Amino acid sequence: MSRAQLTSTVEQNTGGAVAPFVAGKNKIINGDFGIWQRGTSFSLTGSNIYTADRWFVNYDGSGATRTVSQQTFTPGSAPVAGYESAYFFRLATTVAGSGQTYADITQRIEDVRTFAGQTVTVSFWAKADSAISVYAGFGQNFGSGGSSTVYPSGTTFTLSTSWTRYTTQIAVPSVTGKTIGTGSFIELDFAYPKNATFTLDLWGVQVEAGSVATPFTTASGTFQGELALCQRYYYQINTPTNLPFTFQGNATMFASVPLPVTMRTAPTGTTNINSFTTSGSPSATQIYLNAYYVGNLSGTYSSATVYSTLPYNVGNIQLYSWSGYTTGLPYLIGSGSSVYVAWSAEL
Amino acid sequence: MTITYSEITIGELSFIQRTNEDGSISTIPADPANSDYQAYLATLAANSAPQANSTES
Repeated sequence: MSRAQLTSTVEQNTGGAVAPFVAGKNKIINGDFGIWQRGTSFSLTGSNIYTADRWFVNYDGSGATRTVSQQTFTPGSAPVAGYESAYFFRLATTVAGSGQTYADITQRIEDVRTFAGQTVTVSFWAKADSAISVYAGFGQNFGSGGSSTVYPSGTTFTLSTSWTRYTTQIAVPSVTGKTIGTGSFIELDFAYPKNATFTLDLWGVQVEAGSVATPFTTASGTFQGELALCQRYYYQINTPTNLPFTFQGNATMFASVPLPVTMRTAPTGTTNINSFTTSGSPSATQIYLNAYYVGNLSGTYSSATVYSTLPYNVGNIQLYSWSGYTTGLPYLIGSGSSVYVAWSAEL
Repeated sequence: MTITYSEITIGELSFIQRTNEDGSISTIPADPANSDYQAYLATLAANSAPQANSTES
């Protein structure tokens, strides 16, 4: 019997699609670490550092040296035979540091109602350079103005040095009686060793309803679908070329950028276009904004604002303190390297 | 480098400006569902009193 015939028969008998192949069963976005809009290598400083899309690393303490990087599977070496994924996630701590009381790799899933009152199965593939312990657990955050965060009990695993799939079941508490505020979420946390050196590799993370770990699929099941899911929370334009600015008067250059996906909420805009420099020996009419080249313009520039307006599907960029331009005229601004503009509506 | 916040108003546009550890600049809308705005409010609360400029280490 072919898979199509089997699927059809099971669908008829159960009144629905067959669970292992259902897009959307996995509530983890970018569980195969295929999307890295922010870059592919991160030296971690500060905290709550987003790395691969939707995944951030959080910790306290001091003195540690950590990097997160995109690693490429050698064709044929992915942990699941027949599932040729391209990349996996690596966290390497080369200097242990001290004073750490928490250290997590986390993904937040929108809306604390997700899986409320249900048993869920968490599954992931991992390996490490030695037999380190990793704790997998949930948190229920009820948002701004909501009830206090709840942490259902999780499971501690001792990782192997070769790719292995680990699974656990977690009973997610009901939200009955809780107050749900703005921006609520549940989060999957992988607590990794504190004050220690190690290398941890991760791939194929899945969180699904029920008590069985079904075959891994991404949340959407498609490349373009997964990118769109990520872009609900973050969108970055790298080395933007020829953004169409218009001089609006009031010393302001303005550009609107269509966002590919309507964002979850009003996003934070970020850019590293934050200073006005010259390069080499430019003529009076050549001006650079960091790596930005502004052709045949002259003037002064002091700051940038990146924001979005309802319904959060258009991104706006305003550059302030320009003078000497004609109101209403367009000005194309070209780009060099290492310049980005981004909008974030992460949870 | 530390993270710093400033409250900015330019014309009708009012927002929180955050200078990040890498020197990039963020514009944070005053939206309760925005997690960066929540972090800003938490920083203000930790500093006890609202002020025009605050610093988060």
